[in-house]
Amino acid sequence: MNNSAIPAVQAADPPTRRRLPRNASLIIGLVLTGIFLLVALASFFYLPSNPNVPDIRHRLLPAGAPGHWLGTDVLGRDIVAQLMVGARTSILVGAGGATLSLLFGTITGLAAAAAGKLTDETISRGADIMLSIPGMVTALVLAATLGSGALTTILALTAFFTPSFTRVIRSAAMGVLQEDFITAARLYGRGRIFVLARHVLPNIAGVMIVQFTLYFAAGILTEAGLSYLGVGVHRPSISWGMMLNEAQQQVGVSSPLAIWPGFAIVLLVLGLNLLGDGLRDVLDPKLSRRRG
Amino acid sequence: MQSRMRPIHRRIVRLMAAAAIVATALGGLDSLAQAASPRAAENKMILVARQDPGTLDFVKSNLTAMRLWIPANVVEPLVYFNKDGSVEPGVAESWTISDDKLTYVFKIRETTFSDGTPVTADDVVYSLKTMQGSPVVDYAAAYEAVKSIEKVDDHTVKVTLSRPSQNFWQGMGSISGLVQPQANAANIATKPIGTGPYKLVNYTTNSAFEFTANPTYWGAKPAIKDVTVRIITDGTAGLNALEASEVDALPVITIDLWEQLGKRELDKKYSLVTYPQVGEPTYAVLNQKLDKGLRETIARTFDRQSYNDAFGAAWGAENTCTFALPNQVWYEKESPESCPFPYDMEGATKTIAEKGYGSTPLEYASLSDVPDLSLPADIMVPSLQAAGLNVTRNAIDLARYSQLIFQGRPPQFDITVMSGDANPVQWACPDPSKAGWSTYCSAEYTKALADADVALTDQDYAAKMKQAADILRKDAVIIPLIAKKGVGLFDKDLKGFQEPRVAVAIELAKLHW
Repeated sequence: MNNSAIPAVQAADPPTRRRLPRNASLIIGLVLTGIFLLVALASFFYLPSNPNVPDIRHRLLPAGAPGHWLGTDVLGRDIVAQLMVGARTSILVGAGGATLSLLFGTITGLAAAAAGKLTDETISRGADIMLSIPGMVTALVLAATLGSGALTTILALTAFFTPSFTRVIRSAAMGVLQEDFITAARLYGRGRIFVLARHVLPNIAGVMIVQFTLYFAAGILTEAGLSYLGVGVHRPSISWGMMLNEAQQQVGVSSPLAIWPGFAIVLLVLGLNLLGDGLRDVLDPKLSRRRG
Repeated sequence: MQSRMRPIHRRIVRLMAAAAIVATALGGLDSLAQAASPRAAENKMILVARQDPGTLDFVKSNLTAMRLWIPANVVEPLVYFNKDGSVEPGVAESWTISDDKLTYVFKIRETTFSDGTPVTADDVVYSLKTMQGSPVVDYAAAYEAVKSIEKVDDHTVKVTLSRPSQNFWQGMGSISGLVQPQANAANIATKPIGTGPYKLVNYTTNSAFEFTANPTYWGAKPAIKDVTVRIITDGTAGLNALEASEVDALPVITIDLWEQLGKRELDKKYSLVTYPQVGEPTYAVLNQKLDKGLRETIARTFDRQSYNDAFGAAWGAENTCTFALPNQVWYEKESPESCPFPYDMEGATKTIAEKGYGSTPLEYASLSDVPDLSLPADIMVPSLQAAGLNVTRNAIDLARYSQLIFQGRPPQFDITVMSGDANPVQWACPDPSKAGWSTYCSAEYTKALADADVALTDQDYAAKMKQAADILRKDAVIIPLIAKKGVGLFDKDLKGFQEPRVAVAIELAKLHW
């Protein structure tokens, strides 16, 4: 009896059943991102060794050396420990930049969508101007004026990503604002802020989440690029981009040193992109209906 | 069975033949790679520089990137000092020095500059007076004892000193003694002219220098007519260019690339030359205002062997506590006698705890974009912290470092590490209130240098310089760590490299295929 009931339940929810196998990207993305999040969290409680303390006698050990799974760098510092702390920095900076951009982008995007033509034009043209300035240049100028570091990188990412968030959220909010239930809410006497908070935001949450994951990944890449160029974080902080920068000097001596941080960046960015892709499939019913 | 084996045999034979062809082809490629440079037949050569000098104004710039190529090749000094101490004529054909070493008379050679204008005594007087007013302390220091520079006749110049000066005479064979035409003063930054074996044809910023043999050169014509110095800032890219036969030599290779030379066996494929002239000391600089006991304790945490080992090329660098290079007579290797504050972590930790130095906040300013200077910081900062000092690392790029450190007055740091010119005169400064980026101002040290300058014999000079070096060591402000050799890599067919005679200049005219 129990066995015969299962197909009945599955049949009752055909869209979800159809979407699940196609959401391999969501699952892989979740697993990859989850692993790196766990590694970053674990680094607060456990590290194989201090990633900043040199051990010259054990410099440039190969992967698999006793006590050093992935070997050591030019000063004998453990690669695994550095990757763990690097994960913390990459996630902190990427998430920090994406979160602040989401916050400011939501405020400006909703204001542009709901506060009238003048506000819309001002915010939209402002975003256009911001988008015409290459993000890396903004980051380099900020690093040169404020000094390099994780906070500067987060600020640079915020300045770089906010205009994109503004555009996407404005566009999504305008679509929702044209729906009949919004008109009904207004006729019912609801204020603009209430409508935006109660009716618009929940309906564009999917777009916001997807956008967040994609820019989280972009933030990690940008942070790695800045640190690689020497204007990101510096020791005693550690980032994967900084590890790449340090490994570059050793390419002719110990090539794997550059592979490990590169591999970590690729895997986490891939994980976040797959997660974003998968979330878009799940959270956007129109898209899944079209594909279905 | 036999009929089934034959095709297999045939396949094996074919595979072996193919392998032989591939091996032959690869062998051919290898031999091509080892063949003489394509420039040899054309009587040309291409060298690599890692830095762009920005300006070629040898009066105002002391950048190695300029001093490697312009002196001795394009612009010559009055005289040349050889490694054995002998002196050869340069722009001065002959000279006389009075017994009291206060009057120098130079007979100027009857020759022309590379633009065809004759060299006159007026040009020499102009050149020496221009150098006397140079903003570069090292260059102007040669003229401190100079009372007058006069033209005697069209080809004779007399220099009168107020006291004997070793610095003056040494300077006449170095940058301080370079001779240029007064008429070219406006073009010195982009196209300097001199009497040297080469003339500069073109200098493109961040790209290349192009030289061609000077047809009016007074000496033997250079063996190689056209020379290009290509600026490749990425050291590994420079080594790759050499391996691909795109260039013929890297005359100056910095310490961060030395380990690659061995690992890639480049030291076997090419001629590796080592010479001290282009070497540099790496040294820590402590803020002179810190308590002397604290400075001495900090010095005890410096593990020179670790810094040396970190580069993986101990063959090119020596541990030292003396601010000098091995070719300077007062140089001494690290030893209990020459190191007043040897590495002693245990002792340093104990002193820090006893004297309470851990409560003094210290800022370590480190360069983030210069590998051979950020690496010592990676070692030093954890050691200082482990000893119990309250050290914060301020990692900054070269642009900000230049503002903070080189222009900081009073010094804006407590500890930093530098690498540069080995001339001890740069630390001369009698008034501590004038301490700048170097932070070191000592009346005692400045007097010791002045005493050395007036020495009448080489032996006396060496003894006095040794005394000056002792003062520098014991004050624990400038703390030498390692002395790095100059290292170069040349195509095996490119012969004739000679150790620099005029500062760090690579003499192109001596090279030949």
